Amino acid sequence: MNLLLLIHVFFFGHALQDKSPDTLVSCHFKDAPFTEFCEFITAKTGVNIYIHEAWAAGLTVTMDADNIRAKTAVELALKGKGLEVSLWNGDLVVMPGEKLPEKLPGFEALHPESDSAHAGAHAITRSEEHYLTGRKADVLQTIRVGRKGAAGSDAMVTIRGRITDQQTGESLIGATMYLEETNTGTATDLNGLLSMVLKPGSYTAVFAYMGLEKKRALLEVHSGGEFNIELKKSAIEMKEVVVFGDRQMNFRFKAPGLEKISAKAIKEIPMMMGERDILKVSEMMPGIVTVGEGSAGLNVRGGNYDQNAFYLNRIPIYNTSHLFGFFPVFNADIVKDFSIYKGYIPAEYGGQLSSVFSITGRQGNRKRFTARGGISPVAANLTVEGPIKKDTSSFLISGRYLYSDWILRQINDPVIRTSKAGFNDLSAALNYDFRKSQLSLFVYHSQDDFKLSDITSYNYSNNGANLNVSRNFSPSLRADFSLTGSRYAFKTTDKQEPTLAYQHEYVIGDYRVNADFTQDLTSKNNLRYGAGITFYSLDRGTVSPFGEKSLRLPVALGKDQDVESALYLSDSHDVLPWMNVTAGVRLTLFNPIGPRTVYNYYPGSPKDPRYISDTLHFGSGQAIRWYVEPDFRAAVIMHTDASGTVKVSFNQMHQNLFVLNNTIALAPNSQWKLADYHIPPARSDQFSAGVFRSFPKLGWEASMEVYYKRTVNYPEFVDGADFLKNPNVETTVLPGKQDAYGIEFLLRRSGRKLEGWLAYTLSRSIVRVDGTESWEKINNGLSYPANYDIPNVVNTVVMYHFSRRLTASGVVTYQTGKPVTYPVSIYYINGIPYVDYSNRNEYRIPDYFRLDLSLTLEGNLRRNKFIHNSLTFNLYNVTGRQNPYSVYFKLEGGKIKSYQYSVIGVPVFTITWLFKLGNYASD
Amino acid sequence: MLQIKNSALIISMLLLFACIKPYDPVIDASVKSKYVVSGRITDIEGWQEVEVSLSSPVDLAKYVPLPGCQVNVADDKGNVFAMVEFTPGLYRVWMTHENLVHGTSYKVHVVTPGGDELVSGYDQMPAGPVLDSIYYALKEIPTTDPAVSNQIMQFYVDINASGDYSKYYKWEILETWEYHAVHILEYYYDGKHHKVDPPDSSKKVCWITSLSKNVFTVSTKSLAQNTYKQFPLHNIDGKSSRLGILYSMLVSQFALSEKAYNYWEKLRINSNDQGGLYEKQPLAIKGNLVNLTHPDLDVLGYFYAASQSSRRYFYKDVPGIHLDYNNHCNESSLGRFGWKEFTRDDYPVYYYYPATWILRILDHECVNCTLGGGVTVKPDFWPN
Repeated sequence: MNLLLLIHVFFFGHALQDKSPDTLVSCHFKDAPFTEFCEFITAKTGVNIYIHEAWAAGLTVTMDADNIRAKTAVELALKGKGLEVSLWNGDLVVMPGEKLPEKLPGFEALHPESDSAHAGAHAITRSEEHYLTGRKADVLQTIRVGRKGAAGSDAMVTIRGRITDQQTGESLIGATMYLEETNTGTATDLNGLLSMVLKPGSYTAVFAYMGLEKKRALLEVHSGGEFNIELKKSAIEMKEVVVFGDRQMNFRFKAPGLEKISAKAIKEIPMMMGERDILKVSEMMPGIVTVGEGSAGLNVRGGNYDQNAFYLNRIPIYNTSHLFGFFPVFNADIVKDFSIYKGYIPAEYGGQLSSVFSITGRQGNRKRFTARGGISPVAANLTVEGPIKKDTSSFLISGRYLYSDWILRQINDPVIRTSKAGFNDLSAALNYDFRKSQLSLFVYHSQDDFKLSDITSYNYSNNGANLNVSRNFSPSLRADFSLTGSRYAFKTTDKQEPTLAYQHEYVIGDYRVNADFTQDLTSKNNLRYGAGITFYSLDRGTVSPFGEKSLRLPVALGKDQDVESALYLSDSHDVLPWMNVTAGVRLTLFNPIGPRTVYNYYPGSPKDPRYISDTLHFGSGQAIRWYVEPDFRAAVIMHTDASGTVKVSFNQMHQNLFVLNNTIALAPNSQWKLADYHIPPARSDQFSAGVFRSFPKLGWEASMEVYYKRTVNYPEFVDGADFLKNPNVETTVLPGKQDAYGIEFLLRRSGRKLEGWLAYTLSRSIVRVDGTESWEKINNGLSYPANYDIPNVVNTVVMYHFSRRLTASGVVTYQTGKPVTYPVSIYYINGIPYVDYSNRNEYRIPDYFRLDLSLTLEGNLRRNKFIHNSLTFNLYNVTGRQNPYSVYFKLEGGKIKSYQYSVIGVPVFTITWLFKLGNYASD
Repeated sequence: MLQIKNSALIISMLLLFACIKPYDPVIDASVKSKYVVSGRITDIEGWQEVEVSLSSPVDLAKYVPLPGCQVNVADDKGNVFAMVEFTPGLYRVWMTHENLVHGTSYKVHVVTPGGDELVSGYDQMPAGPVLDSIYYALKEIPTTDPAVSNQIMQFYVDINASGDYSKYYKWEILETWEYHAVHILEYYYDGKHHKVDPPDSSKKVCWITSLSKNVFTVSTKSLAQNTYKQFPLHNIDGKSSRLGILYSMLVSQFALSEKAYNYWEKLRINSNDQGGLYEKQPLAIKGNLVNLTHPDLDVLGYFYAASQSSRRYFYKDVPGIHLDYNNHCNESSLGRFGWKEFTRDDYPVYYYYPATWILRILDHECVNCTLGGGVTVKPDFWPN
């Protein structure tokens, strides 16, 4: 903390000879202003009291005490006000919630002749140190790395640092270090570690992280080595950047198309049902749209909803929503870092074509036990965390529970009244730091149960665990070893028609072993490489008859076992002072393996059971296919000047896993399926280029990105495909080609009282299925807009911080209506009218518009409090506009009637109460 | 998928936020009318019919027959059967047993007055089982008021076939019912008062015949046997006049080829499925006809060959069904200004004298049953 900046007003007293805070005084005040009290103390003892006038304003003193120490008197006067009294050169300094340190930790003076800070006969205070370091006004702390004389004078050395949150002891991801002398910077990785190659010497380092105070320190590098630095909450100014990284990060990060979202933004943006939903916040960003209100699935840059990979602490999550999409499976309270890659995807990620959503959970607080939670009209959540061994290990347990049945029972409808809906999720994290290694364990569980009267029931669950060991082999080489398991399962019981009643259970298991290495070759060249093996075990289950009347024939939908082995190598090189090139290659070998029986079909015939020519049997462990999938990726970042960058990237992806679904939204019984003997992996190539510019004085930053993405072999399903009757998916799938392109604009302001952003996207997504044979075409082989082709999207988020305790925010969303197939004419057969439909997706439903408002009221800002509360008042869809989710048509009495279905057709008001142990700023 | 859609709908409805309202889509008015050819050959000796028409815009839906076509049906044995126009747009030919053999394939060939040549693919006539029993069950349908429920009469059909028969079925239900005007015509006023003597009861009794608009299709392909229990057909209730006097239905079962079944199944899905959260794409339904003259123009409809089995059923006085239908007969008293209230446009004004001998004015529906859509000609199968 910069003391000089804070002390604006000094209360000077008379300089007395025997100035001492231990001087005994007698104080008798009643509701006296604090300034008057100070003047009294100064007059009596000669001790000056330093306090910021803003903190002193309004403070009054009531005291009756005889012969107490002056310091004690001041402490008594300020008791419970959240202000601390420190001794400084015989005077008293009052600061909010903080004492000046008695001693400076390990200081090495700048002068080479001085060996160590401890050489000094007396401990110097931070202020003295500050005085000594003189004109480097802000440098408060010196960080020494390595041993003196251990490195040659010209040798480059690698330093590795860990940046942690002072309050919680947690490692920070994406925190930056910037050296002013060399104009170079770096950022911490997923483990909160950074590294840099540099010449031994003295540097001024600036450490920054969103929401925390920027810290400047003197970096004394003698040889290669390691250091730790703690950053603390910025409790003085409202510096918490509300969305997507701080300015520095935005311009120095090396990935185009990377978005970051902070936990605070998630809390303050208005939300449906008052539930904080990180996925819904991401939909406010350019290039990301939801498939619809209250439904699961996102479309990123014109990709289908199954083209996104979601990782929670490296665990792949196969179903990201509770209750059909009304709630996310990610509890906002445990999210530490949320990054979305949609352009350049780092080589360590394979998998889905469109994006990677990487969510890093919080580690537990390493300093103290704490808890937080919240209650909304339908759900409650609670998180408990704390140290196991202080500063070394911690735990975190978090859970959520939905209790909406009470609402269901109020509804005057026989089907709803007897329905049930519920979910819960639970996560637990354990972290342990060894000297050179960190161990972390994360376990996750989510469960959903939905019963629609006695007609249908759905149950689905995600379970996962990740064990990760990070180790520094040398200052320039670091490795992560992880074991990950994830299992997604669902069960459906359908009793709607007794003859066709069935039960179906599905499960997919995903087990991974990964090793990832980061190595600094030179100060300008960073290498990342690694290998991983994933074993998929997928059982599409058996659709079995349910009940005595069911005549359904049991159908075993089949099992898949697959091995995916991958190697990757990527190099990030500062080729020129203003240019960085990152190039990577990822080589994946995908093997569907036996035991399995596969059919061959007569060439020139449809893939149909009627045309089976041959049956192939593969033994256990035998590879059925060898799909070699090389992905080449490259990104170039050019700094045009201090506040502008240009980024260009090429990204290639393969996708082996997709969803069997021909509906618009992701359903809870949507089956994932792996590429197999007949269905090849899909591949996409994406080109993107962007211009980024900041206007620091105004707090604005602007960006523009263009992209073009071409996808081949993307599975499109034939009309009316039924995935419950057919073990042979190849009979219902056709390879599609998809072209997606667009331009994304973002204008953002942060770090001010008025902040927020305006995002506009202009894009298209066009599909074509045009095989050579007549049965290999959809829409007669002509191109058609994808179901999620939404050309214009505007999202505006505005937040105004009236004070630290009161924030108002508003969201305005506009989207072009989704494509739809309309009936165009009527024809009669046997006197009965039938509908003739237009070409696929030839028309569009009405445009979407929504305005939401919210007001967040924080509890008081007292430093010492047991519990901090906040209330969020949410008004969703203020205008009550009935935005159509879909338009559909019914033939009623020979006439076509068209209807629009709106999920949320009225304004919805909710109040959410959140609490945490500790004060406003605590984590 | 329908159920999922409903569940999501319910979640949003339970929160009382969802809404469904009529919507008026803007549809390209210049969509041309397309040729529609539909017809079938059944294994029952008699008239085989093909309809040729044009489709009409959605907002002006009407049947537009296309007269003056040359229509031929050909089988795969080289026989050609020329059809003649029976009524505008309806073409037919009498075919005998020896030309209606299971396993034979048929196609249709149409030349329109505009010279366009339309032709279908061949469709093979499969063998089909005899129509099994048709039965009904009374069902309680809950209403939004937990204390009140409605009764319906739900009809079912079973399939009991061997493996040799087609596994693709379609049913058509031709309903006929008798209903009565409430009064017979005795008095009317058209500026003067008239008494018809004897009273005219010619429009007292009517019969409506109509084909059920639902498409009923099912396949036993994925079932263990070629059997099916309790396939739900249509249902009727006491809120229409069907069960008022006597109700009859002719149930025809068609055994189809797989292709024809796929066509009708798609039509069924398009007609029956409602939209919603998990809405499927409406299916672009391609029939089996092409326009040889203008290959880029779609031809709607389907030509197929099927085995047919039909049976007629009668129902009256069904216990458990509470009759509560509107007879569309409204009575009123003569107004303050008497007969002067009626103008020439209102004539004739029917009335009658109830037992109290205070004159009552009657709507036309009260004395003329044909206004309810029926005809006064008794069907020949109707019991006396």
